Amino acid sequence: MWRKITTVALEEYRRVVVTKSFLIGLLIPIVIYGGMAVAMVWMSDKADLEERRVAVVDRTGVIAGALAEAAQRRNSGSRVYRDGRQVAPKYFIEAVEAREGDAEELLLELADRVRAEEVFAVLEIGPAYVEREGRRGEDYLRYFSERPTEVDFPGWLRREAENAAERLRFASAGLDEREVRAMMSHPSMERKRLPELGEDGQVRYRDDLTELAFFVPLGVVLLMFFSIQMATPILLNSVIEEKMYRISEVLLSNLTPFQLFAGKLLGGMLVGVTFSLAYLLSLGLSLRYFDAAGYAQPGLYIGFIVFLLLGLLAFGAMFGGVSAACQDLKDAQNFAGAVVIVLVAPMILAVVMIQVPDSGAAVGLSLIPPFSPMMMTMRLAIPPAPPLWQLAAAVAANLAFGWLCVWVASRVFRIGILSTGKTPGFRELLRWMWRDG
Amino acid sequence: MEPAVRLAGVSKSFREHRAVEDLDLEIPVGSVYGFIGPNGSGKTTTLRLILRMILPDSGRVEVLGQAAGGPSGASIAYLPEERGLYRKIPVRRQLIYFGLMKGLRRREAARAADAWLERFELTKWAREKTETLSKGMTQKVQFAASVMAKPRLLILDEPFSGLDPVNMDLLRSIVFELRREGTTVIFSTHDMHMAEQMCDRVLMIYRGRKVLDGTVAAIREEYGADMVRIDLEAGNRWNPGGAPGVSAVRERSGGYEFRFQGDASPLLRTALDHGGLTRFERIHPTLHDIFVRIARPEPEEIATLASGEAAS
Repeated sequence: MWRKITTVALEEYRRVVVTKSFLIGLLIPIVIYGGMAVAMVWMSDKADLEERRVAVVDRTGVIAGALAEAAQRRNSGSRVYRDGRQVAPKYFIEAVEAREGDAEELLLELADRVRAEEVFAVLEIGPAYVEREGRRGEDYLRYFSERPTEVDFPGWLRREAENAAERLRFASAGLDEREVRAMMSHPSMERKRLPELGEDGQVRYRDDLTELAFFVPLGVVLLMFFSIQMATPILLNSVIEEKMYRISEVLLSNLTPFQLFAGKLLGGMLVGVTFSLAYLLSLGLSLRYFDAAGYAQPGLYIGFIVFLLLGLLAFGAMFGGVSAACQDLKDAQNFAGAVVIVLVAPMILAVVMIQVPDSGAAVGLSLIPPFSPMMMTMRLAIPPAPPLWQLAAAVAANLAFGWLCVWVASRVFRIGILSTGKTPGFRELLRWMWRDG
Repeated sequence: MEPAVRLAGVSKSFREHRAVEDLDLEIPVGSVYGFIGPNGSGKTTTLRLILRMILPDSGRVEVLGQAAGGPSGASIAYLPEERGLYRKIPVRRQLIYFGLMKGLRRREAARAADAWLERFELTKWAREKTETLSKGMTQKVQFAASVMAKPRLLILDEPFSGLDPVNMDLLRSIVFELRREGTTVIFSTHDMHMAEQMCDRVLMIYRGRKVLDGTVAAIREEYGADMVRIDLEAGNRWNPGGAPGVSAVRERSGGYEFRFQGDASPLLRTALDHGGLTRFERIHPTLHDIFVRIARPEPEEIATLASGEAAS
């Protein structure tokens, strides 16, 4: 019995994995993300040096000058010049006289100058901007431009305008600005991992890389989702091809429908594991390279593979059953859409709950299939690891769910694989489950 | 000697549709047994019952002496019409895969695959994907896949479609070679001429029921010499259609064949009166004629059939 199952599984595996398309599929994300990293390094060398000139309508009469001084300081400083080479754009302030009574007309004129590319943007400062409790409607700071994606320049203008206003407020209150700022300053908090006693007897303190701490669980959840999503529809195509070309009839004269179904399911699971292993290996090596291997403990890798297999078992069975019941690829894809929704939901929930991995909802969902594989893997990637009993309960629940899916799907498969004509409805599928043969 | 296949009182329904009804059949070992019948008559269901792909609702199916159990691996081989191969898998790899499915070891399967490819002059296509082969070549690969494990029961569904006469003769000779070695062959076809040429016995199923079962000669004999064949000289426009007792007229090169009931003398006189008659012969119906009579009965036969069904 097993010999035929493994023969089918290995042929299914070979048909998918030993192909250019699989290798390309495996490499494309690496090429895309690697390419993005290279492009970012390359782009960083090709800095934007277009000067930013802003027309400032300063109704306070005191901020524009401060901005001009700040721009001058910046333009000659290390922010713009590094090793004698310009690395950032220069900023220029052009003070525009705020005429009385024609505010809107002035702004429209300046807007035309922006469109004509004489200036980059317009900054309008309200007359009460400097006041501590500004008069409502007159304490504004408005930035007009045609480039909504520009972030640095308006940000710099806001900071410098605020600094200038604060200086004036301190002065009017008779306070020493430096002293106040010194009193307000704090060292930033360092985030560290728990101290560890090294082999040399020294206590080691390592920085807690918050981005990485978030990236690893997110990455493993997405990897599991993509592995299942990539491997299980292969079953669908393969079953439909065998049905359409009557290959299933030839096969079923030599093996039972269950053997054929089990072989195909096993082959699909192997494909998913192969896909994941390639990425897990690169994750492990990358973390090791950045001296951050602790963010993915060996238990995570083992847990990932176990829960991936359980997920593949259940979803693979669903896809296999669905495709056997359908008469063509179009029908099968329509049916498979419902299964994909069941696959997407756990992925979204797992991503949403990364910040609360020990909440009641996260713990509960990590024990309930089909949410469990992705949710539990997410929890495994965030220390402290879930208690052993929860892991055992999740494995048991997924085994039971997987068994149920395989039972239902194989009952549908044995009838559906030889069926012709119309794709059955839900009632008919239920009838197939209980039919003898 | 135990028959290769024995069906006793077998019925199979799919919901309201009765696909096979109370079918009894014995196929002797080493025979070539033809299954004929119109589309949807129950042939495929009967084949699937024999292949044990499906179970009967009632009755007993014995194949190669076994009444139950799953597929028999190397013992039974099945060749579906036209298809049955993966399009994207190279020919040799595909043959080895099917060999493994039939229980051969990898080395045996590879050896058998090479031998059949050589016999069918397909060795140079061994590494090509099946989708690149012509219809005839595909048919030969499929045939090789079904016989490579030397089955005891070979089930062929329209095995010669798409083949040129040379390859058709080649496959036919292999079928007879297998029969000589003791293989029982079930041969499902719509080609009545081929069935007459190849089959020791013929089974016809119509509306799920067995309507014919026996040797071709016995079946033709049973129907009697109720056909007439006439040959006419070129230019003779006489058509026997419409003459008393004449039905089911079929035009053929140089004349007609038709069913005739009654005294033939008046008809012969009429034909002679028109001149140019070169042949007038009472003949037995061919298998084709019998098939058509059953599958597309004349009005009087429908009436007979209806009264028979009512009586039963």
